[in-house]
Amino acid sequence: MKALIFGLFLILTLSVVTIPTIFADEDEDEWDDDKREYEQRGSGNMEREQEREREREHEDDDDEGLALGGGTPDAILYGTIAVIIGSVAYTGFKIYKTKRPKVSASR
Amino acid sequence: MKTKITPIIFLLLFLAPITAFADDDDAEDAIENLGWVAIGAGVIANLPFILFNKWKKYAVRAGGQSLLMARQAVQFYKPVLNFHIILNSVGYFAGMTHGLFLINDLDSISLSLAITMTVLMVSGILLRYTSSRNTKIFNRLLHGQFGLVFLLLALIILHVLVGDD
Repeated sequence: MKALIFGLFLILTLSVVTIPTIFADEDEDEWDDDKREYEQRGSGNMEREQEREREREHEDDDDEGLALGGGTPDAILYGTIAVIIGSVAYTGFKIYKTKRPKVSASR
Repeated sequence: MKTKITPIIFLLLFLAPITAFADDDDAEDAIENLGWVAIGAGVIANLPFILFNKWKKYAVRAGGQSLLMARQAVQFYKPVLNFHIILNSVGYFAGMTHGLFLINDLDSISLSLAITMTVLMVSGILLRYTSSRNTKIFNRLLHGQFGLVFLLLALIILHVLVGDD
């Protein structure tokens, strides 16, 4: 039963990883279609389109820069990690504290 | 028979987020809906479980008629626990899928939320399925930490607020 449940978790984890890659492949197909379209339209249109595409990419880069690396969001991430480490340490300390007197009493 | 049905229900519940894709033609909206599926599953999975445990503790402390009721309610503990595990797993995988689809918009709050969800999920799995007594005690204490639950709630609220902007 345990092996079955672990197997199920493994399958679900794999599905979580594989589904986005399917979408990624579709995006690549779309990119190929766009490329073909550009070739058909001619070089003048293509240059203009490429310029627009580059501008869009730069805009995306700016957005990514805003999303990660800001002051408050970074503080939230470090705070989360600190709380998790603190919780694990506190739990370990609690167990250590409750188990220690038993060891000394048995001696 | 019961052991055969449980994994089937588990798989069917995992398929529940797929309806989020069926509801909307727009893929981006559907992926966002996956996040709401995760939040909904989390609320449904945890609220009854926490209330049941709190009531059981209160009944044992109160004694008398409540204690008798608490003893009778012991038989419902396992189904409630299984419900909690299954729905939380659905919520976790729906949330992670939502996160992987929107990985380009990753921010610190989403990353913090994913880390907290994973810590709680792993401690829950270890608590339920490990046979080692020490690991069980450690994970029981860690899984029920008020600080972690509060952090998860705060991060979900922040994530929704930032996501709406």
